[in-house]
Amino acid sequence: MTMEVVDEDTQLVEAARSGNRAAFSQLYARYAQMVNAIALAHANPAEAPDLVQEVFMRALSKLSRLRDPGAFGGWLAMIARNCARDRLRAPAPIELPADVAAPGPQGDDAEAAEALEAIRALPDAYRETLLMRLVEGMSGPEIAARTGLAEGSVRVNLHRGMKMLRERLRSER
Amino acid sequence: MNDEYLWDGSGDPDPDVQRLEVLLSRYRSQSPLRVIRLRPGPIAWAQRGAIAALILAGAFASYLALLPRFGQPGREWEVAARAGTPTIEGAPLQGRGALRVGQALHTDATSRAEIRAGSVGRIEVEPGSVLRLVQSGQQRHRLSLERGRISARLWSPPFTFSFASPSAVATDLGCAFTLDAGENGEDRVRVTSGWVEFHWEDRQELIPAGASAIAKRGIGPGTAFFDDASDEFKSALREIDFGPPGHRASLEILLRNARARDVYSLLRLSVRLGGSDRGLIYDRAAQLAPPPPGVTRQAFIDRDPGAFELWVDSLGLGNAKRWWVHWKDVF
Repeated sequence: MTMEVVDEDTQLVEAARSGNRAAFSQLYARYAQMVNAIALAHANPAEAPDLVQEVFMRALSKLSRLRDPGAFGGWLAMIARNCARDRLRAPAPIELPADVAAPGPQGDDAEAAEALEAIRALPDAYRETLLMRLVEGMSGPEIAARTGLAEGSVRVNLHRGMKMLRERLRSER
Repeated sequence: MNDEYLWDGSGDPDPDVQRLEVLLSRYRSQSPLRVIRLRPGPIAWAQRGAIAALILAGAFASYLALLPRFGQPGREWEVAARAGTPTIEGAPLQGRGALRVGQALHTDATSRAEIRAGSVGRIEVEPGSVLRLVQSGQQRHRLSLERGRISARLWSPPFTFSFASPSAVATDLGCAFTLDAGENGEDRVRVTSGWVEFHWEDRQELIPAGASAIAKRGIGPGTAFFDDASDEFKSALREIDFGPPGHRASLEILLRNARARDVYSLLRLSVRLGGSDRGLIYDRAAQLAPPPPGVTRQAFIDRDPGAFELWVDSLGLGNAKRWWVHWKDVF
């Protein structure tokens, strides 16, 4: 992670801690893409927007406990994974009978859903990184800056993850 | 294959990556951060904030003024044997002794002890316990209950004392409570006065008087529940908190066995559940303890913190943040 990102995060976290809502909004703007990608990696896509809100709500309430403001990205990612884990532990939603349930996706929607499922089936290390790149359009350096991972690790995750994804998608066709 | 395009979008476009970018863009984050709606009222929130800040500043100043009188403990805490022969780092405690930072007090099956934390706290250490004093600063004291049970009565400002158990950390908010560190991987806080915060990583539970919460190793605390809730309610709640995913049946049992007093647990649990389950909880909770005006079903499902706070406040449990009102409870 670059020093500029750490410094900016530190300033924003400290301002947010002192009650500056605008600073927290800026943190949201910087990290919403990362959190959404983590949500998609672990939860149903329909629940992702809700989960993103929950993650930032939890982060806001816990901000005073963050020991190193420069590590905000990694800390937020951990909260996102824990929120997603809590969702998985929660009771399954009530299922509607087949005759009143919405029809399944078709066309591009169906292909998108299949691609997302294929990414979600990849090992943990690859799926979050790939979703940040393919869903959110974040570049490798941006992913490294936001998550706190080394650029080399992000590059490896993208390369290996994409290789596995291509193989999976080919085998499904 | 062009890894540079995958890396940062430079170089020749990779058709597979491009196709996936187009397909998956529908899942991109779009929703802005919902503004945290605070309670509406005739006074602007900026003014309320200022008033609250003044009250807190006044309370804090009072606390500082009263500090010498109430007496924070120093680095040595006074310990008295109440039964049998407790030990401190292997040394038998005869009558009275001192517990220093880093030291552990042990009680066997027949011994018990009482610790005085200056004049702002008293901690009973039950038989079969190991309690370590981890930190004792000017305004913050940390202990670790490695095994057994303690009963604490604390009349210091909130967040002065915290007790780590193997599964979570109990922090006092001006209160009296017991903390059990079980050997079965499960710890429990039972609050008799005031409030306790029980947390682990980002899981947090606020426990009011008359209620308990269980924490499990590696998971943290579950939902707070009143001790007089039915066994069916408690069992279903435990299943939802700690059981494997997919417990629709447990949620139905929970809702069926809930009383008006259990609405606090339902509201706390709802924070961890998905929208459809929050809808079910709203419906049942609204039957038992109707929400105050302004708390709509949709706001509740949308996790509007203002709605949540209004409803919890309407339950008459007192406000965890107003710690000073609980001081009288311990005298």
